[in-house]
Amino acid sequence: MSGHLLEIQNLRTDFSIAGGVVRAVRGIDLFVDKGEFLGVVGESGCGKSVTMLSVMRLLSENATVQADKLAFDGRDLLSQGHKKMRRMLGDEIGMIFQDPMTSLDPLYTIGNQIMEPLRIHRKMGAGEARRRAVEMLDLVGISSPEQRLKQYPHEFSGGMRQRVMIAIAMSCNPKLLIADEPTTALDVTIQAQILELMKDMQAKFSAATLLITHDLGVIASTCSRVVVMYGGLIMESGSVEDIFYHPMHPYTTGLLSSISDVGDTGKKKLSPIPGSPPDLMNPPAGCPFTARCDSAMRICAKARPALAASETGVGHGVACWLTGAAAKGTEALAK
Amino acid sequence: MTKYVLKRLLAAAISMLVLITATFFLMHAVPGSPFNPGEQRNVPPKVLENLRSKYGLDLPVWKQYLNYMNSLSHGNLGYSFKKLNYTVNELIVSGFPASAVVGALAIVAALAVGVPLGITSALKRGGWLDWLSMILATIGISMPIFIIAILLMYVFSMKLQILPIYGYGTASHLVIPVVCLAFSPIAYITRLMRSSMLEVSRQDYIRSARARGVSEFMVIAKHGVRNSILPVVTYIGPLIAILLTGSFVVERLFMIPGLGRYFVTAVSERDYSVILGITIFYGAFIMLCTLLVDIAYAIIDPRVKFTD
Repeated sequence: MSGHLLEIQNLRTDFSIAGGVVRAVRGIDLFVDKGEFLGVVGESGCGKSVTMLSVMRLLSENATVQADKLAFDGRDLLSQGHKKMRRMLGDEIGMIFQDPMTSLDPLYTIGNQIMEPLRIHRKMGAGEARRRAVEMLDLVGISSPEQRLKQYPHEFSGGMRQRVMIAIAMSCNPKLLIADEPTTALDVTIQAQILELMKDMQAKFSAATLLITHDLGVIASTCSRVVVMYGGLIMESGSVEDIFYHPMHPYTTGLLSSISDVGDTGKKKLSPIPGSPPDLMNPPAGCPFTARCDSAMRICAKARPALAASETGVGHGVACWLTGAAAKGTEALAK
Repeated sequence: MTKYVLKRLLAAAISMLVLITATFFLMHAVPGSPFNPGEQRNVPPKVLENLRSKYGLDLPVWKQYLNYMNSLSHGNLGYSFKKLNYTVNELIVSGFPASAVVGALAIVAALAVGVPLGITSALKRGGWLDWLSMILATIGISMPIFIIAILLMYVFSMKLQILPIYGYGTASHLVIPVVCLAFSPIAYITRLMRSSMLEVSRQDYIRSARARGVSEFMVIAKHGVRNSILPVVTYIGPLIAILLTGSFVVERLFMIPGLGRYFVTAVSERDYSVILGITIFYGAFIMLCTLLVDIAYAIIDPRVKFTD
């Protein structure tokens, strides 16, 4: 267990807002191993971004984060002070955000912003930091990096800005790269390029990558392991094969049947999941997917199934009363 | 850039011409004149007539206008009608320094208090400092300057007797006038800075700066302030012009020998040349300040481009 690079146990994040408390994340266990490419997938508002921002302590002040364990590279993150935590960000943990158009400070040059983590964490002088910045820009595929360094974010296209964000995140050679919907705001051809670049960078720097997305296509083309989230909980987790070929959770099945394949001739009908996600201000007591689930039983609304190992594969876990260890529990209850 | 500045200066010159012309004819259209028999009862009519012809007031208005524009083109603002043997140029030179000192100190005070207060109330939203600044701002925006002046005079000059009640000359004479002048700008700047900083602190680039490991202080000082200062810059442009050229009320209340005082008396005495001279000076100053603000925009925000 201690071999994990990032380990999260029973993470809970609440936001206090005017009308009450939003329980955005309601008890999540997650780990990232050194050098692996993990995907976290789920629809908007399922808590996937909040999970990562909770770990990095980048949430606004109205958020409270609790966990049984939060560890990064053998260090307990819960006991780290704010300043120590900040020192790890940009150095050992790099982050890329969803919207490259707004993620760079419009008033400073690209160079200034790439050099920032280098000067803070590596204590580099201006000259050294500039050389490294040029190197990084070159590495992420930006041509004539010396000139581009002096330019401002508005002189870059969306895809180029995301490349710059990757360059910033990777500049200090982090052990973990967290990418929060890195391709959502980009058009399809650029998406593919950015994903390619991320895979490339992961191979070069051998950093573990945690990719947050709502796009199963993105997951399929990059990740080795997948976590499916819904309503602030993990529904299913496993290898890409497990999730795509042997999905066990009705939610995962639903997600998969709502997307199209390249090979589709138009005969297959896409079936969206009816209904909308649960209100996290009053989260349901049982499985959050109950209301939208075709195979929902009475127990689903009453008690929350634990994430239990499924028989299909090693490391394949499902939180559903229909399958795995939980199903045995239901059988026992039925008797 | 040079081309832009030249273009702006040309536009300013045209605005000045309109300003001067409008002021000139409005002034003459207002009933009464500097040497009106009705107002100067003990002066023999013959003397008034001589005075009027000395200052060219007996000529048709359009001719007076042309004469004035002619002397103005030589940088000569003419003689004051009421202050004997004083040219308007001399009045401005003698009055401007006092106005400028009080005004400059008020601007420095407004920025030094308003900007940090706005930032802290944005960052500690709902805290006691935020409430205090809110109360201060409401007072500063709604309370007229002369009431603040009288309150300060009462407390510090009469009760505590630590500051002189009026006059000009020593540093202690400056305290109350500067506080009076700075009070409402502090309130405005605090509110502007607060709302702007609140807006900026929610931006993605602030979060990504944090994710890069930038310390909280630097996130605010480097990325926060520069992004949120523009509304304040917009506000202080005209404010600088207003404060430096003198606040009529404050100069009157505290007997500060500044420009504002001359202007007020000139209007009531129909001292045409002084009214025009100070209007021109004031107008030119405002135009210069707005130009400087626009240039400051481009320095702060690289996205602002001058279109030639």
